Amino acid sequence: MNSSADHRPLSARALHKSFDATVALDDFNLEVESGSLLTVLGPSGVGKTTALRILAGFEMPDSGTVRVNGQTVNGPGIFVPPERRQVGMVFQDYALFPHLNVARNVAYGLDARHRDLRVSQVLEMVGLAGFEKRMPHELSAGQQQRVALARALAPGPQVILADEPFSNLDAALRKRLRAEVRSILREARTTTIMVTHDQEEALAVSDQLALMNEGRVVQTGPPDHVYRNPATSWVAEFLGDADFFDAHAKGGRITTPFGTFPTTRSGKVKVMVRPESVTVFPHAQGVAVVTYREFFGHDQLLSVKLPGKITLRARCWPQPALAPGDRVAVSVDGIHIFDEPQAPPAPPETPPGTPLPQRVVIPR
Amino acid sequence: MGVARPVPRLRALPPNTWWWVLAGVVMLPAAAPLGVLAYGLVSGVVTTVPVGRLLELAANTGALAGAVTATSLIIGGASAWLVSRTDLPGKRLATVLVITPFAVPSFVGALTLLGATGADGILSAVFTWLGGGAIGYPSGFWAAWLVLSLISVPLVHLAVTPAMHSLNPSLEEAARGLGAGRLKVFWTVTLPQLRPSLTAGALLVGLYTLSDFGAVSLLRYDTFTRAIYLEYAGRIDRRPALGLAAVLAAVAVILVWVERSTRAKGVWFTARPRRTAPPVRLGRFGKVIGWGFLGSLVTLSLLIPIAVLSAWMLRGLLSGTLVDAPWAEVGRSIWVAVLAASVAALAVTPLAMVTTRYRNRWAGLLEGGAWSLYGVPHIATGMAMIVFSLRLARPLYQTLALLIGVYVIMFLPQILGPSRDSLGRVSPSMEEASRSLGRSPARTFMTVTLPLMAPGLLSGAALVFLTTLRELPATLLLRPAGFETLAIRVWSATGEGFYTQGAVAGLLLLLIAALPLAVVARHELIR
Amino acid sequence: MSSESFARRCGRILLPALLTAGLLIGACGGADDPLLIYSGRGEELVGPLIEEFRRSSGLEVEVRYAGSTELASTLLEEGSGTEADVFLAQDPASLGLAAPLLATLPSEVVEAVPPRFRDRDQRWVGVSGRIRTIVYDRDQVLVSDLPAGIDDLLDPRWTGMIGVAPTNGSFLAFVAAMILDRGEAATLDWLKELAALDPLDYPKNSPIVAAADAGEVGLGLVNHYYLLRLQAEGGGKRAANHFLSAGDPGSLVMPSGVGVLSGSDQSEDAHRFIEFLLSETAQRHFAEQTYEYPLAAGVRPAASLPPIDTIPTPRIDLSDLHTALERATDLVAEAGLL
Repeated sequence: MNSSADHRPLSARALHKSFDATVALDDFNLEVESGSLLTVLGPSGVGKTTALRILAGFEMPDSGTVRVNGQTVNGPGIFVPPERRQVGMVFQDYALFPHLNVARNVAYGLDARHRDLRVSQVLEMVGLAGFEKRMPHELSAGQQQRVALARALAPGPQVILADEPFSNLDAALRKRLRAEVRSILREARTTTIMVTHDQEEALAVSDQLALMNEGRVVQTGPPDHVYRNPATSWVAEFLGDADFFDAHAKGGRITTPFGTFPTTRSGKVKVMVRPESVTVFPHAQGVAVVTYREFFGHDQLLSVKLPGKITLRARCWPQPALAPGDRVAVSVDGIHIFDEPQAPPAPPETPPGTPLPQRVVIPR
Repeated sequence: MGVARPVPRLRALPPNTWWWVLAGVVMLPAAAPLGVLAYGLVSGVVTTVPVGRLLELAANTGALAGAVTATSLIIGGASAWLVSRTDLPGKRLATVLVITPFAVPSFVGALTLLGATGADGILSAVFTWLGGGAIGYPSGFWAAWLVLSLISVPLVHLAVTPAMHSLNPSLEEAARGLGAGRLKVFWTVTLPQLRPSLTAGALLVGLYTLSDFGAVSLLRYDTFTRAIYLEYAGRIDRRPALGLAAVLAAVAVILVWVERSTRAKGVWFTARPRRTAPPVRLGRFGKVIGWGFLGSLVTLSLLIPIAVLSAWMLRGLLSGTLVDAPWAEVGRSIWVAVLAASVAALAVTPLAMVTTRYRNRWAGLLEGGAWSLYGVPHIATGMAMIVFSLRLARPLYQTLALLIGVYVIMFLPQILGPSRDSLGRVSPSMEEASRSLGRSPARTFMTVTLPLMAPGLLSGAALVFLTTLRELPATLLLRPAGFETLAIRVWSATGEGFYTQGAVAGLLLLLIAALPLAVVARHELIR
Repeated sequence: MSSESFARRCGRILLPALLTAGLLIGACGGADDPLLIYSGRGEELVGPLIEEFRRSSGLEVEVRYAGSTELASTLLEEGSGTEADVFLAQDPASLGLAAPLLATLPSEVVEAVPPRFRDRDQRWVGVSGRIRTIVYDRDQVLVSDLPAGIDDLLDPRWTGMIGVAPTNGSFLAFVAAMILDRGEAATLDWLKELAALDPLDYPKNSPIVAAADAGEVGLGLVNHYYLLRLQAEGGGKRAANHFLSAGDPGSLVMPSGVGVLSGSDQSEDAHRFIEFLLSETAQRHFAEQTYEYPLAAGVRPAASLPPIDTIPTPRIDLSDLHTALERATDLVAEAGLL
């Protein structure tokens, strides 16, 4: 039995998992600090859910170790079944037991002692006191989601895992509920690992982000740090808007149509610019021409064409109203430089909330 | 709160493997009748049955099965449409009335048809009063067709109603919007959506007709089952009977597999209908016609049998025939039906688990095996099991355990269907939720899966109870000495001319058989 | 009803049911060794008698009811390993088929019955007599037109008027007797000529009697007691029985009979059962309840029946009837009557 110095609530090392020919996890590493909310963010199909299911004990990794509070639960010759991991789970479809009322759903994982007390405590925490006798189908989607959370919290697990917990909700409810859930989790001081493909959601609620692509975590850190310092162009593009162009660094400088920037690199590099760091203003002798404009009320998004086949987007004040064809001057607040070749764009997302196909039940 | 001591465990059997093992154990005895029949096919048919006779039986049996299937599809489809898609008043009552004839055993239907006709029959009396003549005793193709079609209507009705309920009105409206007329919409949009359930209903009726023994025997239509029984009861050499049974079984098994393979190709997916279609407005005239149709259906399939049985009973009682109420038979019938239903519920659970959760070749094989046994006519299974128990499992010969086992393997799909329906609505994430809340696989099964599966198990068990109660040929062949049930009693009493006793037993049988239908109706209609 | 309570109720009903079922199935195994009777006669016919024997003897008795031929064939298949102690059959043919498995009965048991109603090797003994007869509709058929023998039945005037039950055991026994009496060729000719008259087919004897009573057929080939039973139930006002006088197989007197399996370890109890069947109580039951002819103990048949000795019957040894049974089935099929 392993009892290392690693007393993080949960950590995963070098997980590998393939299904037939498909590699789902390829050297997946993750650790979460006590009491924090870590979000695993990545496009659909990069193995987020597989990772979560391995952590919960529902799937067996091909290799690698998982530790819960320092105890190895997956490792060479070791498999601790889910019921003995003390890892709570909130499912995408909530998985409430339809035959049990709210109180009995929440009490399901509790022993007889102090059960009623704990149930009312947790229901109070999620704001559902008084709903004990309701059946799951009598609740709204948001209430169901909070019951699912209460049920997972009730036994006091080391970690709560949440698989796309907000994806079944409509946009307005999603925003409200994620703030509520965040504060409930804070109040309960629970360590949480959440999986999502929604960048905005991840940036809004997480203490830590883990960006995942092609079966592995490519960057971890606090959301604003990751946003500002993307480790790769893929991260930059996946997390927010970004425009790229190729440039040449020489003598500690990069020269662009909108100015010269210092750099330590030399040779061929790739430059990334975020729209919010671009400012434009009308100027008859400006180097750039507006090609496209989207107006949002509180701001506008302009697409401008610069010499050298460079196209940048600028998110800026709605005034002045610029139109395609206007000549403008451009100033850029900061750039990122990568030396890798440009990564292919992220695959298109399936929009959340698409109704799942339902199989026709053939009666007999 | 400390961490539970994680007990390191070598990769033991994951819990699912146990379900596979159990499912295998359940389906293992199924190999016995199929094996014996395969042996019968080789030893019996080849040596003893003339080809001409085989062809004649095949033509007769096929004609009957085809005609009965077509008729009950039309009538059952119409009744399902009336109760699910129109504003017909009294739909609940209509539903109960339409499916209750399912409780009438085919031999009781045939017997009472014979009783209702002839110079002193009720139907003859009605016709005479109307100015026609008496109806002679019906026999042969048309008589068997009538009785079996009427009894099969509930099978189609039950199979089609849920599909009617879940028809997506947007599809029909889209077709209308594209300029298709009502008739074209029906043929090109509505019917294809109903096709899977209609096919399932047709298979049930077809198999039922192939395996019916009571009606064709009494109405003297020369089909396989009748020929099998005549060979069995009238000859010392049992090879011809076993051979014929094997041929019939092979036909049924082929039908089952053909239906399964076409279903696999045409899996029908549809978006969950956002709303249900508005009911078709029948108008006053339409409602009268609708109830007139249902009324005549129920009169023919339910009221006439009850009336004839009651008339026999009263005639005998009024003229002083002493009838001992067959309480012992009632007790045995209920006992054996409850046993069969309970064992079937136990046996079906692992089968439902693996066939719902896995879509691989083995799951298909297990399910196909269960359906094959359901398709094999009871008389064939019964004979195969006599041979099997006599030669290979002598301790089981003529025991109640064997009889129950045979009921269970014959009726397994009846409970497999509803159980899988229920189980399909249990998302695996519910079980995972239970596991992550600290509950073992066994406890998860008992507290989450089983309670959610229970309604399906219960309605399936009700069906098994009902079919066991009215089963005749296998019971005739396999019952232990002294184990006379109500169905046997009706059969033997009327056969010997003791109509009063037969009628009392028949009425009791109908009464008991109607009870589980309440459970079935509940499950099938409340969705 | 909420889904919770429904599901819970289901669980509450189902689980104990499943458990008890499992236990009970397991418990169904063992039983002590009762006197096991294979009865080719229906429960309605002999059930009350067996009940009476149970009571008077204090023995434990179990009965397996099925067709006589079917039971004979079952006995042959079970062979010496059979659990059965007694074989009670509807007809001598079935007894003859099972005869290799039957033990010789003690003379004092069988001699109460006239020799023509028992096996020549004393392996079975008749217990009640039944006579093939013609049932007719008195409204359609004049007494003066009634046939004297089965050959008169082939008169074209009866076309479409005769009811037969060609798959029924007693009809087949009648055909078997004809084979013994006249030979196969003559029998086939007779059957073919009968088929040419377009007789009406019935599954059993009793609907033929009902048909004659309802005027649907003019004549029917049946056993004598079905009409008497119908009359006892309040029907049978229009039909009557006619006993053929020609002494041909049409008036075959056919006993039901009983034998003891040679493998039986309870032959004494089995003999007691036979003695009971031949006792006055049982013979009276046959006379009064099933309207058959009593064969022993000096009991008289029902008042409306002619004495058995006055009925002319073909001279065949009933011990041989089984030898023709299989051929009888074939000939009936060959004549197109099936």
